Amino acid sequence: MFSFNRFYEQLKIVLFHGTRKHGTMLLIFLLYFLLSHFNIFNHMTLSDKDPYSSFELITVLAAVLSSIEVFGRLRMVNSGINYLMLPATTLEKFLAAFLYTTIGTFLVYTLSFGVVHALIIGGNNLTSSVELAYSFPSAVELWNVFKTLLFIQSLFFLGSLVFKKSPLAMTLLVIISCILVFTFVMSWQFFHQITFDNNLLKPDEIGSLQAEDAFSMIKNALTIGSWILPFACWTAAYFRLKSTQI
Amino acid sequence: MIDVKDIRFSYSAKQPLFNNLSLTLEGGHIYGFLGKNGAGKTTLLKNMVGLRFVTSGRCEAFGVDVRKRDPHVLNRIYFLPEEVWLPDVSIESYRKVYAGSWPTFNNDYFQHCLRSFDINPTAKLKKMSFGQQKKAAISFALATNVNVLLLDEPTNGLDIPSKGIFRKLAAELVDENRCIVLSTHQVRDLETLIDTVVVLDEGRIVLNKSIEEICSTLYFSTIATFEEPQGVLYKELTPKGFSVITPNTSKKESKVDLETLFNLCTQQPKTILNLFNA
Repeated sequence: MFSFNRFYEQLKIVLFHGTRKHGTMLLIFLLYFLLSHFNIFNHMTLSDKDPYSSFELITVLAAVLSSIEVFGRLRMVNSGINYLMLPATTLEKFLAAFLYTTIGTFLVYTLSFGVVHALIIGGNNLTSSVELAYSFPSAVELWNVFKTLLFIQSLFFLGSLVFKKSPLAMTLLVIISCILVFTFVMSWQFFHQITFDNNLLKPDEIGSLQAEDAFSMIKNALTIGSWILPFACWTAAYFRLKSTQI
Repeated sequence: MIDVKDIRFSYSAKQPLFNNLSLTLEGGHIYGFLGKNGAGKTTLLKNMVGLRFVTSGRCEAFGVDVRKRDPHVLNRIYFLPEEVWLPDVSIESYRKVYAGSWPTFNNDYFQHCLRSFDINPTAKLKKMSFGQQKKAAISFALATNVNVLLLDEPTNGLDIPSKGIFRKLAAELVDENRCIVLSTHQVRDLETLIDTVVVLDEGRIVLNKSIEEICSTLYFSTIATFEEPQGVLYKELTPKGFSVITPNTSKKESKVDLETLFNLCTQQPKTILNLFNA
């Protein structure tokens, strides 16, 4: 039975360890974001570039780094014992780690970046005659960032539970290998389909439609995969956590 | 409280560590798990709390299979490993974050334990010596007020006065609803604390008896010269003379010498099994 009290205790513990580990990382990213507002080599005047251009990359990177570390205690015997013996269900522990690495990371980065951005633009508007628009990312843009974060996070979240040694490097290796295999299979399928279709069709019937179909098929496969894969990774991570032995 | 039924467990397929091992732990006792290095003391503790799953058989705590890691069971058990893990924070911060997970945690008792061990609650855990960290961890474990407290080599790293304080604190904690399991190979440290001796050897329990039962069956004595008296089960030369174990046929009282008893158990397990299971 799920208990909000136990879940809160788990979340408290995850936040306690996470804040200590990732607080510095947040400050570094915030500093980078702050500096990206200015032309550093031009008397620190405000830059024309969109400071939010790196927001997605930074938020996803933060989610990756927090995901890879959130179960770090299970990689050592004594800290693993401490974690597994905490009185909470696997679901409560899993949800605490999941929320911290997804919604938690996203909210903290969105809010802190928003505050820094608002202070810079607001400060400029107060002190300068040139009024600048705040240009916060739209809800759609934020939702797209969050979707990307969920997708990437799920891979590293599972990786942190599967690989005891060098989980970040091992997960990256697996991802790169999978991408190479996927690219090879899809390329083969794509060219096979075009060649096969072309043999059946007259030259004047060969148009861009076949290529578009093939691209559309790959696009559909990727869209479906981008939704299925995170859920598969989270489910696998849950069962991996449940069956972890120290 | 904890029921281990016919368990089999092995780290490698070829050599089982435990084969049909059974054991029951009840409240009101301080169990001493004794065994050679590699006998499986720590593994058995892990099996009992569900940190390691048994191959066959059942391990139950409060009637629940420990593999389920039920929080209602976990908040009644605390397992302190030999080498403790503590984050880089003060003791007080650690308490604030972790104590809430155990509804029975007693902060007053925690402070009492820290005071007894002469540990400053504001001190940073990582800046402490291994022994001080261990004392802080033991204090936390005792203060959780759980029903089953499993301590793996608790006196390792403790100085001589701290060992005495630990014995005092552990003894005052045990009541009918609580039991403490101490896994150790330093029997002298805990001789006066243990009331039930469990000896593990070659994947089986050779002895699982209370000190009273051991006393009524065996007689422990130290003699200056050894003249092979009749019925000697075990003799061992010590600086004080010969430590001798004989069957207690005359029902005289003697102080159990755990180290000699342990040597008898591991060197002549059949003798012990025959004596206590007769």
